[in-house]
Amino acid sequence: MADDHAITADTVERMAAEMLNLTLAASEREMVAGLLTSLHKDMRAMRRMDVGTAEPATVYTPREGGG
Amino acid sequence: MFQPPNVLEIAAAVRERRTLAREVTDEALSRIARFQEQFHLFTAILPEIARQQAKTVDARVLAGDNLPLAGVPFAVKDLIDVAGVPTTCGSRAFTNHKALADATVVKKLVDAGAVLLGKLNMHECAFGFTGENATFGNCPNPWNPERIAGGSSSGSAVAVSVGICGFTLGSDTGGSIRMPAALCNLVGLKPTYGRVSRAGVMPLSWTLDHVGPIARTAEETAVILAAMAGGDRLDESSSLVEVPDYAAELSREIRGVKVGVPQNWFFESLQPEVAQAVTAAVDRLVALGAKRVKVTMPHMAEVLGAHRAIIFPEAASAFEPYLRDRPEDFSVDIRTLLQGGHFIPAVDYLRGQRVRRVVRREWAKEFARIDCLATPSAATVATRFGQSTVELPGGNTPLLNAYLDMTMPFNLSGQPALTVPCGFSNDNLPIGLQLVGAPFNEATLLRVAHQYQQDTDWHHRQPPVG
Repeated sequence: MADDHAITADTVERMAAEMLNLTLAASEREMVAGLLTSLHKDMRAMRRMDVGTAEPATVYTPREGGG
Repeated sequence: MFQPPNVLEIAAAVRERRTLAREVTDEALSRIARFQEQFHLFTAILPEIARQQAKTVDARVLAGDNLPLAGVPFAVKDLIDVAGVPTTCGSRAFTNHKALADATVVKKLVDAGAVLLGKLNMHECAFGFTGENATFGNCPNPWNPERIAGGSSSGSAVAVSVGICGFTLGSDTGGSIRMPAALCNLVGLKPTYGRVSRAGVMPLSWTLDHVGPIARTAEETAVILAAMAGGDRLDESSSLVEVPDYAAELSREIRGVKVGVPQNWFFESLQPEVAQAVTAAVDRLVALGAKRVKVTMPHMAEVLGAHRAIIFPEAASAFEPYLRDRPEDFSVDIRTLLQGGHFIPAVDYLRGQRVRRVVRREWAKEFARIDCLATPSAATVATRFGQSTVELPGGNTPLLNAYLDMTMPFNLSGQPALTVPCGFSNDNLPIGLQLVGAPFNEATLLRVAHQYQQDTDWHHRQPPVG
């Protein structure tokens, strides 16, 4: 996705119906689109970060050491 | 003049039979009646349970039990289970969601002699930071009722602030213990992930959620944490690392303790009064013998993104069945956040977890050079209800960033972090200093905070509520 591309309510509607089996009212689609645009902006740096071969910390235990 | 309940003094008085737990409980219950209408701080008041527990405490004391929290009134955020009582999570969606058993933390604290007064108001589903709640009422700040108390553990902070409870429990997924504690002039501790059991606590985000106490002082917090920490077979993420005697460490002076002061992110855009108070607090630690060490915390922007990439899908998953069955029971704001979580790609969620692993590894190198990190607990003092941004030196800033950019990184890293009162703005609103430690090093944070509180009197100031 382009960095500054705003997510539209139409995109939300199509994804909700075709991929997520989620029913959203028109007002909800607008609000979710606004939220997702903001979230994708916040996740931009994370997406560009070099994580090398690091595996996901999906089962997170601080005691497990140096990561 | 009203003296707020002190955990250590109450427990000593009850143990020594200078007072009865029943008397302490009745006084606390009468104080609830005085403040509930104005502050909407309880979602459920439990006088019968409290009086029965107090009676049991008095009997146990008489039988010779040495209870560390004998007769201390406490209450829990309403996402923590109490048997037979609904766990509403601050939402209309769960008003009939009755718990079958006590959460492990409740069991442990009651076993230590604490007396449960009730369940506390919160931001709906713990997915917010203002404490505004359409179902149970807004929870205003005792220092200025036109301002927010913070959240999501709003009632937990207010119940201590107005002197009802000796301590309360909150949960913290991005700052929800520390931020309201800071805005209400209290100590709030987010322990290391795994230090305190989450069994019986309704999740928002399994890998970011922490349960911890709010109290007035680090000294009280040390005793409370010791009573609630430890492994739990009901929570697979709880740790078996031994629980130290936190209170025993408190009196050690902090001469030579290395306090890291970040040169990036945390001090870049603060309200001037916040910057001044936090800088003065670090100076005070140095005057007490601590050594100031400059540190740079890498990957902060990536950490923010990773936190978003994790919390949204985990919350969407945790609440999915309820959202699908009765979406109308959630407020519009929360429904939007939960719906939005469905749209975060799995690849982003996993990238967030990979970033988390890298960050934890790299931050461990920074923390190998210091004993604790000192930062502001929030970039601003308490803001007004309805406000969505705040003017900071860096520009007009969304409250989400102004409040949680300081605290959220340590939910991702799982490190222990506490806030301690360190000053007031010109309009008499509290400011907090955040101290962050290496995993399972709560003892150092409590010790540094305690020594700071021994040398300052911010925590003795009372809100103008009587």
